Amino acid sequence: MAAVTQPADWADDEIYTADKLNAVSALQDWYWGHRPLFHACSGWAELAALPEGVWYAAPLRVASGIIDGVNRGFTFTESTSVVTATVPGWYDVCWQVGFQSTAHGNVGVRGGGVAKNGTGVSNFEAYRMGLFGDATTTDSGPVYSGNATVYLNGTTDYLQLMMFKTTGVSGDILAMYANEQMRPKLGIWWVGRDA
Amino acid sequence: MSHPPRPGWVDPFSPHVWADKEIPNYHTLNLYLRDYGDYLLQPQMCKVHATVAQSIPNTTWTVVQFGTEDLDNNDMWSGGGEIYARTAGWYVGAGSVCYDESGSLTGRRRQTIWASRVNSYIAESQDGAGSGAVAGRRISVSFGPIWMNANNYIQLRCYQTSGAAVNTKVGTLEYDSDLFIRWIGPQ
Repeated sequence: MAAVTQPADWADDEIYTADKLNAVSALQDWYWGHRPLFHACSGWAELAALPEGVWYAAPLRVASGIIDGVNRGFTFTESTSVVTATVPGWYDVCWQVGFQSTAHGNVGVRGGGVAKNGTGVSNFEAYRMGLFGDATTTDSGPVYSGNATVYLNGTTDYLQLMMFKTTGVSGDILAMYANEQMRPKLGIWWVGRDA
Repeated sequence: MSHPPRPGWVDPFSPHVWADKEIPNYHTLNLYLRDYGDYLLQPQMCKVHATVAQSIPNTTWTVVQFGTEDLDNNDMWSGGGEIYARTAGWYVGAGSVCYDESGSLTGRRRQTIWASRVNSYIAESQDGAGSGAVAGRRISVSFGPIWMNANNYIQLRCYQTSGAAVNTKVGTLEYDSDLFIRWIGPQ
């Protein structure tokens, strides 16, 4: 269904017609049942080893298990975890990152967040960084979550869920895959057009 | 603070299809334009917060209990730790647990959202305790979108590994543990 983000105007003395009234219904139908909605979760281990000291796009997959998967109105590329909106407007974003340690679980910094159109410092819409020193070497965690509201132009703007760690080595920290509630996940939904 | 939907509300939501030459009257205009539009402006939402300090046992998952509602426009909460969906659809929300760590505690803190539809946790935040004493350490968890059927519920559950029971912190809104959920659409 084509996006309906603007109500029709009524002219003075305009006669009610089924088409005009159905245009109002179409707007309601689109908003409640067809506006863009996205929810994906990380699900497999072989693509999830984090490089050392650089921001890394968390692997995501739109599939339903315990976590509900949905992709309505987005272009999504699994290999790059790039989520591109096809309808312009403001979007709410709910993000979560989780870490699974094979070693060095109590070493260094962990970070997560959502980046728009790149991964430079200025690209992040929201992120969190912290220490996990209280863990043991192979403890699972930490898990960070948060929210953001971002504008996407519906053509070129895209989002990625990003993760970060510093332990001094590569391959020792994975994106969480063992417990669904701790896995990286990304939820996005359209909330309104720009003024 | 409950405001059930207007009489005549169609649930689940389905916009009216106007037939050719169908003449609207005040009743159908109010029902299909005013009421549907009005619902657009007040989606079902509920926010509650704790009013009594709660003991969280060591290494035991515990359902956070709430004492008062800040917002509830569809009878979604009636005491305790559960917020119920009254209409099937997609929901989003967040919760936070505030721990009283004036005793300079250690260990990890886990906060999760439990969803009755899948009988499982669906989101989590987890971190190690910081060093030093702090009156209230509040950690949040966000979730969504998730699907809930009518009368499914969510809970905020927490787990800590300090070695002993830890109380939640209450007293002012900056401390009180809370849970919020909002309906964003029927499909």
